[in-house]
Amino acid sequence: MRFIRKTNIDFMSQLRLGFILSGSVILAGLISLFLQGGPKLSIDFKGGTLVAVSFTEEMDINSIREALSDVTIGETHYDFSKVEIKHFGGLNNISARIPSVEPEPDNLGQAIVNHLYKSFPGKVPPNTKDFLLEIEKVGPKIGAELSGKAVMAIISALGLILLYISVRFEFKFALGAIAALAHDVLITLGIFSIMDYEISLSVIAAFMTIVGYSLNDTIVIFDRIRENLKVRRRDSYQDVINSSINESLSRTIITSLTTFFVVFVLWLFGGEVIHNFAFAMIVGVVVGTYSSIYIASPIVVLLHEKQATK
Amino acid sequence: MNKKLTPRYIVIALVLIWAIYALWPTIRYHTLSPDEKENLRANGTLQELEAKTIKQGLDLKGGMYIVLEVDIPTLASNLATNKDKKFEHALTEAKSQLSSGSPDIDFFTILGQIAEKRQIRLRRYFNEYGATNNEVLNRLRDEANDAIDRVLEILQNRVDQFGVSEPTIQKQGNHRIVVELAGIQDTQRARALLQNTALLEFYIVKSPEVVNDLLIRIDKILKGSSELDELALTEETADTTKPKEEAPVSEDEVVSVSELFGEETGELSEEDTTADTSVVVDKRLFEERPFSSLLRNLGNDIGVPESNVYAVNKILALPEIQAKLEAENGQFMFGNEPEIITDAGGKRERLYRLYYLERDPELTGGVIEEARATIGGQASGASGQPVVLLDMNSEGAKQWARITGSNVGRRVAIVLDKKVHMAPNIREKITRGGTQIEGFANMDEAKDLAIVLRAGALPAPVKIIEERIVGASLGSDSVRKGTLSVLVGLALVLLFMVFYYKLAGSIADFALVWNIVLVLAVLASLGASLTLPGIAGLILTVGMSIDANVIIFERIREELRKGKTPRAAIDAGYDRALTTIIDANTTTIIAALVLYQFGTGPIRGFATVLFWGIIISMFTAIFVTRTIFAAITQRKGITRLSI
Repeated sequence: MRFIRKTNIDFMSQLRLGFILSGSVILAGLISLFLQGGPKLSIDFKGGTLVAVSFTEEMDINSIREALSDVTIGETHYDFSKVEIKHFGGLNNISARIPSVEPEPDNLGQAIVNHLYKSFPGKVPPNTKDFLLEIEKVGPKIGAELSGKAVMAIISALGLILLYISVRFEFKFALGAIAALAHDVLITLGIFSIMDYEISLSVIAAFMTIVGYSLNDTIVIFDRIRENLKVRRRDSYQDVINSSINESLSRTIITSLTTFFVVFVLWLFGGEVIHNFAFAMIVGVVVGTYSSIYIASPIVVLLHEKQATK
Repeated sequence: MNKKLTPRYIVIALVLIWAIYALWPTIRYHTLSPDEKENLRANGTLQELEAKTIKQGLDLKGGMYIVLEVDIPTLASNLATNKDKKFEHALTEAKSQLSSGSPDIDFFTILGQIAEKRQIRLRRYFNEYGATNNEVLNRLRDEANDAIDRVLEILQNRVDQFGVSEPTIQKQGNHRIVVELAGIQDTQRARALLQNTALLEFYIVKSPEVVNDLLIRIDKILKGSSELDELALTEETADTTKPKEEAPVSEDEVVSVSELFGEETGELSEEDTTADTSVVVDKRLFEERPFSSLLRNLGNDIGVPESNVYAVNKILALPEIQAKLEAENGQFMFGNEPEIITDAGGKRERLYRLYYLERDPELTGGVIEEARATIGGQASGASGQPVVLLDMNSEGAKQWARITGSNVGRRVAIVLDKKVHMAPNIREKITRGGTQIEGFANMDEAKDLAIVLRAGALPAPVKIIEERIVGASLGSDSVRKGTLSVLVGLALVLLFMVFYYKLAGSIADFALVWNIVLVLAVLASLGASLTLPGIAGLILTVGMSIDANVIIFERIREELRKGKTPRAAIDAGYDRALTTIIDANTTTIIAALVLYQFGTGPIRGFATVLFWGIIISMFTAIFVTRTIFAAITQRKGITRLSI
């Protein structure tokens, strides 16, 4: 069976349309990022404490807020009613993010868990170890370091990939690929900002995977272009690229489909911990497929034309 | 290539046999019944088996991941002698610059800069005659590195004795230590065990006459001191932050307390201790005897009501009191736990003992050779109570004999991390070096103390700067959901491939299943743990490694459309697709390697799986499938290919 018969779509004539579409999505993302003062970073990068606990019945956020308005740790009273409190997975589960306080008691996370346990007798499991889901505490200094590392990771990955493609193909292909990557990451970042999702360490890992995946897609097309350029020396550059995209189109769509299946399943069944990661991957797969056709290849054409007119 | 299939069969068979061999312990372990497990545990072979299975990461098994930072400024301060104001100020400034500055800055460099600016000669404080500041700093750096290695070793010892399966303790960077404890339930206890400096000291307690005399003098110093008013004021403002339970008696003043020197009161098991945090002190008495009015009599000792601890600490920290104590060569220290005293009126009060000790310790815990927790014997004062018995080395025993011998009749305070555990009377000279520490809430506490004393004191305090605890229930939830996702994702892809590529699709499916089995086999033999992001990586591998087959099959279809025979189409398809697949996979491998390099913990798990998934997919999706195709087309008369 075949989904895609021999196609002959003139992708290069839709170039302007693609640029406008991408440009407006990126712009919307940038506006959202600007309005919110940058991406919404998780405690991995900002520092702070996250606790997640599991009650035996559905909990109302406001009652948790009330309970957290007076937490005693040691002999000091804290008011945590203003912190971000959310359901964590199901309605029984609650997570709270507490920004760093100075001076921070050593056992802040545990103290909050204990406080919540005591505040709702009858609504908690008999064993405290079934109550605690998760505590994460990141010192502000570590947070700053992790941000630095994440930025370094993305920059060095891009650098290495640029180098690899320059060696294997041509520099203009590398530029096209990198432009497509920047496009994918920008759009995912923008969508995260619009959806008010957090950027955590695992989302950064998803970004890196998007980078790898999107490149995978781009390179398969580039490879076909390289092959066709060798054989069809008389045809115009634009035509060669166009038919190369068409020839690899069915592969592009089938692979994107299988990858989309699995990340969608992960998003659906993977649970709360991995939810944002899977969401980033879904966006990445869709955008990555699109960008290898509508961003990477057109940029190669544009660069080639510029070269030729010189 | 048709004639040369046998070597290919052999390679494939060897790899498959190896995979089953590598995975066998995992399969066996998970199919064991609880009874069989118990049997193996009794044989002692269970651990051996466990070591060969695929480990679950902390996020799946539940457990804690802690990053500790060695407190370098405190270490420097501990090493220094003849400390004066100038030095203390420089240290404070260096500390604040360290916390605000970039993470790569070295504390000693900052200290050097400050010393340079203020023209402080560091050799004065570190007994280095004729050394320049830089030489002193270099020596301090060596000391610090040495201290971190010792901390690492000591923590290793403590954790080993705590009895956690497969703990990992690693140095990270210059002054950090990462501790991973899987499957741990009592996180508070583990945290205390790691952070406890376990500095054991023995001090001689000053006589009651000296103490009485001192109390009167402190009262005198405070009377008319302007800072006293300030103190009273801060107490009042501190009090407004919490609801008052009752109106204070007219003549009296409510004094609140907000510090219990780090005693943890938030424990779940503990009864509620924070009901009443204010105490009533007679105002006239307070004016007349500002210090001693805060205290109570507790046998031969001073008792401080829990609620007055904050005020007492504040008064003791006043510079003029500190100067007085220094001149007297003494210091105050609290007991480790409050005692509940019922007074004549039936009112229960929680009192901390306050001891006045010599300024310098007679002996420190370095001489401890053996420490063990047990139940106190009939003869001792702590019969039936948990105690820790200490044995000293010969040097320590000698000193201990000298100290006890020359101080018969006086009291010696046994101090752990600046808290007095007990202060018994010395009845006679102790020659053997044995001694006993009492005053534990329960046996676990005594056991943990014995562990930390055996392992030795930390040369510098450690701070928790990052902590991740995953409860067991969330972990098993993640395992369930992760497994479900893998199975559903895999099923979808497998079905799609058969549906779309028919026979060729099922060949690819066969390769894909082997791809996953091989990734798991590699994980098992590397001893790498499977994390939740790792499972995500596995799912992604399913989606992405099928790509190689898609590229090949699409190519074969193209060649078939050009009118080639199945065999020629297969050969051409594989040959042409090979470079594409290698180029495309290399970029994903680059991303995985970078992730591994920069990521920590779970993220590394993801990178590992992604990396091996792609490497192995090149074997399964190209080598294995091609061999199968070759075997099929070898049969004569094949004119159609099911693709």
